Amino acid sequence: MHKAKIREILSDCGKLSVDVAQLEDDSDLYQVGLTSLTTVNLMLAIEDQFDIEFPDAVLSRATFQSISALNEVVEDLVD
Amino acid sequence: MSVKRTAFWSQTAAGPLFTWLHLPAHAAAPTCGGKLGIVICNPVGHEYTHAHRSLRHLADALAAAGYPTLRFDYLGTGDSDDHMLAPRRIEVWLENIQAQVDWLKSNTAVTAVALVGLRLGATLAALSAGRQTVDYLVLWNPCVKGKRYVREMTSLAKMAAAALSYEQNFIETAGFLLSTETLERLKSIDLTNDVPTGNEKVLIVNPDHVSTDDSYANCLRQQNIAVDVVQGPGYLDMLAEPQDTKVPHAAIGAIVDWLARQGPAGDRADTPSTTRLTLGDRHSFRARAPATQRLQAPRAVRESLVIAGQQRQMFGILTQPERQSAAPCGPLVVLSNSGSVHHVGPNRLYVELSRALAEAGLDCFRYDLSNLGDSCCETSVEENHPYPAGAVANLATVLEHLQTELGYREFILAGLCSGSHLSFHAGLSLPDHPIVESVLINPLTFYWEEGMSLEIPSAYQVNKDAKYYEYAVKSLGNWVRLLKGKVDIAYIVKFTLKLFAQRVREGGKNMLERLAILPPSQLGRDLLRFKQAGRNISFIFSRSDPGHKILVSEAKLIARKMANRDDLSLYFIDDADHTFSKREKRDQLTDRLIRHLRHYAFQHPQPAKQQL
Repeated sequence: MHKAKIREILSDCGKLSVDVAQLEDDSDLYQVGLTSLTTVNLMLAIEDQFDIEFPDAVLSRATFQSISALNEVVEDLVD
Repeated sequence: MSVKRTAFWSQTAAGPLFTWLHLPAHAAAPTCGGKLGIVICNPVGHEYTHAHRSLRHLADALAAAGYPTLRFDYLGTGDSDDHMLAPRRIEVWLENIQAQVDWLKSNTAVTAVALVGLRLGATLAALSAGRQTVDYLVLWNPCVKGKRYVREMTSLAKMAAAALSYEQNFIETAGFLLSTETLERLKSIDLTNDVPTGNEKVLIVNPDHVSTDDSYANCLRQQNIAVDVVQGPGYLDMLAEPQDTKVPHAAIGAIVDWLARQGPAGDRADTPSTTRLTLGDRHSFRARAPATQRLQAPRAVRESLVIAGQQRQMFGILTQPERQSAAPCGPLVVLSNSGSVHHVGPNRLYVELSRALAEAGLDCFRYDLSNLGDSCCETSVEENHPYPAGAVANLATVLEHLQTELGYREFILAGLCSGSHLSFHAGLSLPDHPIVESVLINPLTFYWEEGMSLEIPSAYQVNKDAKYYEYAVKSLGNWVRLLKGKVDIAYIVKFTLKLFAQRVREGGKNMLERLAILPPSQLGRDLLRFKQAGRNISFIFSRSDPGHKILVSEAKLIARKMANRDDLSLYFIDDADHTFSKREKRDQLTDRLIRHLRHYAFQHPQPAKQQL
């Protein structure tokens, strides 16, 4: 489970309109201000933090739609 | 302490570069000022647009500290000539930097030069230092490995695109093009293998939101290059959406202080308190209109720099067709700022639009309101606000200058987003100015009030959401998520009720207006005022943008009547987003505008309009 770390990174890079602590794991991040620009910042910060690289196949909005969705992908890549 | 900014076209072998020279105002001539001069190396693409405000502040701060400072646009970017898909971009940009260093040394008293670059600009600065004598390098979050930068840009393109065409020879990242040739050249860049060989002193400014990678600094140290590393707070805020940017004053201060500690300081003074805009000798050049599907071999146009207003505080660029006489011919299209983006426009739209309109025979003027872009000074009120209180007065000042100094007799006001808001209100509240038409492109509101969101108005968010659900319902993946219980059904039910209530409300209002039980809305009355003033009003909407819904919701009956009588024109661009971030959509917008407006230049019949 990497949700806590993802939340921390999201708080630093996501530039969301709400406090990350108020978000549910399934909350739609694009509804609270995540944009394509901030998605890329988020992606790079997660890659640096977990020492992973998102493959092209998962580079879509669905991957970054929610903390849960991100966690699923990160877990797959870390393992 | 005042700063003087002088705009000019810097003529280089590759083409003219749009350039600002920032000097301490007490420097009577460019040959005065410090012995150390600065060349600022811009980032590229959306980072260029977003960082424009902060880099202008940086240039002012450096000039106030006594350093003659050049800020310029590489070829194919900003106001400079050419386009991003031209060949050899990286080599040309390195030549551009070298040419600006040469200019600074030839035209001022500087004997030492510092390159200050941000992101890809920092990368170019570092590469440039290996090719010429540079004394200091300030590298603000440089892209050390080109491969990583390319990956970042391609990821961004993938995130933003509904579908990527792999047949095209370029990618589009947040509205900017990178050719496959440029991408390949970028991939080959690795600053750790391309370390400057001179006696440069280097400052690396790291962003504060990610963990620091010291590998490049260590690599430089191994080559006995003196390197200082600092954290530059406020990096993400500097590169936020233009209306949300915050100037990273602490990081700017750290850069100025570091340069001051290196030795050859200029005539140092206080922080800038006033700014004066002037024009250099070379303020006119022949530009190339953009090649589009319509225009494979466009004719040249002429661009001239203009400073307007009694206080000389409003900067703009006039684009005209190449013709024997510089005298005005037909009405002038005046483009007002879109949001807080400077006069280049989002995705460089205003530059391309100006040159294409001029190529089609229409004179065009793009400018910055006094609180935005290159007009903005230290004393500006409401800096960076996209809907400033003085906007109409600003525009009136510009129109008066264009009328009295340049001889224009008629104006067509146009703009995207807040630029359309201004074109609408100026059309209503400047009865004595010779305005013949207002062209509104994707307005987000017709009556902006302090405190309103700068995003899509919440009342119309429901329309945007409806569009999203129309799209989402066609996705098999979304149905699978629904069956797996991963979709918030309560939210969808609540949304459907909200949409239903809004439709009922709108229908009822229209019915009451039709029966003359309700008076026309403010928007309806204002549309009629255009007709009464004998001024045309036109709308161009991206099909999914909320502007059309706002028009229909607030003034359907009057807008329809006016459209039926040719008092109002309405056009749609399918599949375009709010700022036309796809090249194909920008071309369609340009083509639509030309077809709509060219009758002013050549008395062509107006094209068929679309139904409300």
